[in-house]
Amino acid sequence: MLAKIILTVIVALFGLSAPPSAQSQYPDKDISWIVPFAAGGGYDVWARALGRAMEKELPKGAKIVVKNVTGAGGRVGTTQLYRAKPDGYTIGMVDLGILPFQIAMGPEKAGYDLNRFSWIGVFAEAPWTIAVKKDSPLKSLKDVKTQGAKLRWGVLGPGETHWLAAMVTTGEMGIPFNIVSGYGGVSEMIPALLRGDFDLCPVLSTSALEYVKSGDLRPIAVLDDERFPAYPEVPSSKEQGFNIFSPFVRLAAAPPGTPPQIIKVLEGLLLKALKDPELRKWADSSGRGYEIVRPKGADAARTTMDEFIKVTQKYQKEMSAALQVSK
Amino acid sequence: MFDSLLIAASQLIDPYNFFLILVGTLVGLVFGFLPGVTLLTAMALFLPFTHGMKPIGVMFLFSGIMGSAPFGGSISAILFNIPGEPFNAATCFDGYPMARQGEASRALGISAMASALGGLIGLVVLILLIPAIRPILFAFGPPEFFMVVLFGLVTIAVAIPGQMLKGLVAAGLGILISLIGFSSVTGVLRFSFGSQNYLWDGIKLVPFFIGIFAINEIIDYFVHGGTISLSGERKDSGLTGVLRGVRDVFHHWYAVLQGSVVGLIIGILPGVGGTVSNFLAYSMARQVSKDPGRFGKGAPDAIAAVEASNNSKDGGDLLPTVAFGIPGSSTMALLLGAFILHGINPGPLLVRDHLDIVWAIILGRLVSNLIASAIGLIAADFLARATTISVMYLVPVILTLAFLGAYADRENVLDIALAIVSGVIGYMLSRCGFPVVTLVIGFVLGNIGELAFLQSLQMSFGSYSIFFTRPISLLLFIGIVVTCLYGFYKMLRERARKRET
Repeated sequence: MLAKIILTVIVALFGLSAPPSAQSQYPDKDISWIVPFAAGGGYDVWARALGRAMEKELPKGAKIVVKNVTGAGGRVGTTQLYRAKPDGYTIGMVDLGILPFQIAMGPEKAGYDLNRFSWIGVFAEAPWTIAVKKDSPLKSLKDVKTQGAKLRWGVLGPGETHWLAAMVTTGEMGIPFNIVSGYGGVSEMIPALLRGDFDLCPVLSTSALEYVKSGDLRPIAVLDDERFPAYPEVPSSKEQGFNIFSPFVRLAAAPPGTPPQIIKVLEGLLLKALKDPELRKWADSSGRGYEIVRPKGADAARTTMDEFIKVTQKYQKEMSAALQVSK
Repeated sequence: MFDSLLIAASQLIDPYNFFLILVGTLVGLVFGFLPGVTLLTAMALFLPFTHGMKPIGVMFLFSGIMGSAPFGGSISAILFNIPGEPFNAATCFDGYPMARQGEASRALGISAMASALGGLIGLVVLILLIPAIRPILFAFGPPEFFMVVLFGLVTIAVAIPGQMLKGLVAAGLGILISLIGFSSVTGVLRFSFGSQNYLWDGIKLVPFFIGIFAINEIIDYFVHGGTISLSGERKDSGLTGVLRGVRDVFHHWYAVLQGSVVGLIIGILPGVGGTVSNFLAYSMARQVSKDPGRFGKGAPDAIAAVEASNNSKDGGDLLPTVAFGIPGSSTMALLLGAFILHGINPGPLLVRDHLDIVWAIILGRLVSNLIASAIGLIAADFLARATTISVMYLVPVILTLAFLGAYADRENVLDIALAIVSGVIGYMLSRCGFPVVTLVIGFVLGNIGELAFLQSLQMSFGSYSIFFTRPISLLLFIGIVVTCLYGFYKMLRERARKRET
């Protein structure tokens, strides 16, 4: 009897001391995908659609579980991602709008360092569009420059991406930057534009699509070197004589220190998912298809990050002034 | 327009779709009831499961959840003084005192009946307003939002006889608390006490409410013991209580009508919306009530007005969706996100291309609302028995639910601490005679009001005239002045009368 018990214990101990599964078996369980914004928004919808496509390549039963961790303009979710275990089972999206805060406060106090994330790839990008309401007298960037000081720009808040795009634009054009801010999201800002709270605003070309189609919004410029395929009659900022670099990219990342082999697997999953026909069908029907112009992997993500940091640092003084958090 | 209504209605009768509405209704009731776990969470939880369902089915499921959640939240508000959803707060003000007086099933009856009527009236008004949506939505901007909020704040202050000073102090404290956090207008982090991220978004509504309402009461139970019903008995067992509640609703039909209209109109205003409308309905009901002194002590018309507004406001958040395809609330945003996932693009063309889906939402909510009210009426007697159970057994359950709810909001353990601190502060304040009502209203209206005020000044490049040159804003301002003067007049008259006796 005693012998039986001892034998059972020994066998059990052998079972428990089995070596952890080698990297070649990754992934073998659910992967958490942190979305730092609310359910139903642009990032969230992308995460769910991509997650479904990526699941097809995962072993049976393993899922991509979307977790919405909202707050502080995306910083709460990003910080959670930054601190997660770098074992490849937690990944997330990073919105570059949180960069100004890191620049103003320094990575120590900010709680994250965008330079140190293990980047997986850029899965979507879209240019900014400068939009006005249908009957606005503004017709081009030239009008914007002439009207300069009289114009009010709609943004969500100091430091976030719309604010950044508008700041870079007004900076390059050499006009004052008057804002009307505090809107909870793009879905609050667009009606505000239509009812006249302010005169113009940056809006993501893909988000603006439906409103341009219905005629409510009129784009007067696309902040890019090229025109935007969905409304090719709108000239780019480059054509109008202004050199404005303010990209919007959707980045996927893993916590710092995630092993390169795991990143390779994730990068492969992401790029494959972006070619998935079901995802493409969804993207085209929802207008997001314009965002998958050139899906890029980890290296491209890294380069984009660096370029963006360079541009943003040019405006460091303005940013620290606007985000008076460091006082 | 009406053929898409018929299409949606015929889909409703399909057994599978109706089953989805039922599921949604039950889910909404449960999640509405559980404090802190909002219906937004419920919808987010079910979102992955909707993959593969037809869009109209998804809409029925989600609208089922949205339609029954207000009443679900009322149940916990009335029985335990915990708003199940943030917009059930004003239900606590008079629903819970009524339960303490042993008339819980009467309160539940009022709630169920008024909810159903509010939903119906809201729907009718919504349909009537659809042709004029855009002009209505465009007429309300930050200056008007500010005036609405100001109206809400002023009416509390003026309307509490005898407690005016303490009421104002509590409201001021509430406003101060609401200012904690990052201001997205000025870019300044205020009152953060050194924390970078935790207080960035300010004092979160859900843990604060759980503290002020639930934990506050639990401390009181601890001190006094006994049962929720102060006398230990129920005055209205069986059907008598519920039926009395139903009769109350028809007796105070004016409060129901007024609550529904206020709910719908405030529900339309983006950013102001749902949480605010129940307080405004409460304040306005007190203004026009024949017995305002009873407010706060279990006034049936208070409950009726608030419950009606809670269900009619849902019509309000649909208007921006119908007008532009833009969500009028975060639950609407999730719904529209579900649209996108199913290949439908919300946007101004939504109404043109997918009107049947919009009708599905409207009808689904209405049906769910009615089913929830029916369940409420039937179950009211049973639910009311909770008020005669010794709090010794109830407190562990309520406390667990409260802590879970405080945590569930953003999965942050510090929120539980926040709830406890809020509860202790709330208890101390109410022991010193400060009304929690005005504290809560100040908290809810404070930062919305400040945001609207600052945005208005941004719009006008700093000129205050913007508040008086816009017609609706000016009108609202005149209304505030008139209300103030009338309130003072009533107060002086009361004093004069007291001096005579």
